[in-house]
Amino acid sequence: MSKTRFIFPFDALLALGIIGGVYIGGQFGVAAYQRFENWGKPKRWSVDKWDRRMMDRDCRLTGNVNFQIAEARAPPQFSRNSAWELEKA
Amino acid sequence: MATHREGIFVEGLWVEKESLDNSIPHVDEVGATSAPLLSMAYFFGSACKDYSEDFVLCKNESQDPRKCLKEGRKVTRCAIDLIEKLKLNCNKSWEGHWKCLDENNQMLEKCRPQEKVFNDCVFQKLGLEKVIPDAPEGKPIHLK
Repeated sequence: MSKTRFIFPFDALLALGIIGGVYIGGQFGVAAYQRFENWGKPKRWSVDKWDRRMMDRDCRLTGNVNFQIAEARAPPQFSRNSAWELEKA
Repeated sequence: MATHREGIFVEGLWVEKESLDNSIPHVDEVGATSAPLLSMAYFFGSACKDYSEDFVLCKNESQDPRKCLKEGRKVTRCAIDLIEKLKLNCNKSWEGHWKCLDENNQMLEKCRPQEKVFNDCVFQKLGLEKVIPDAPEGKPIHLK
């Protein structure tokens, strides 16, 4: 066997670059879409029952889960808009 | 009476139309959402300790909401008082901390610098210190 030199496969770099670029760009795209869905903030993760009920209370106070206010007293409609979920027995 | 689970096959929503009895004194509710409440939670714990303890002991006796209304009103008034004092004195650093918490999934460990600024301001102006109850011996985790 005669020794042949190894030539680096430069042509493959284009294809691998496209694959890697789409993958990494996709990660950024998913993050951007989640920010768009949540009014400019990242998504809430690891949300337990406490957080769910707090987010419900936030929604009652401000109208949207993603908005936060820091007032001392609640707006007047806060005392009227709590609701129980009804299920058929 | 709190339900033990949320509704799964929800058919509708029930909103109570009647207001409370006139015999019960009216107290405004606390108007802070989850992030500001979380950042002032430890100061609330040290400033309003007596009223919260009364409320928790009352709740331990009975789960009926009608039994613990008086203690609950005291806790609410104390919280409203604390928030007004915070807004007067440390508004900017408080806002910085809870806006950071808002970005980071309400995780306290991601916002330590803003927390330090806020804690210093509150200690200077109001004299309250953040103490984690039942913490093991050694440096507290928020000071490491």
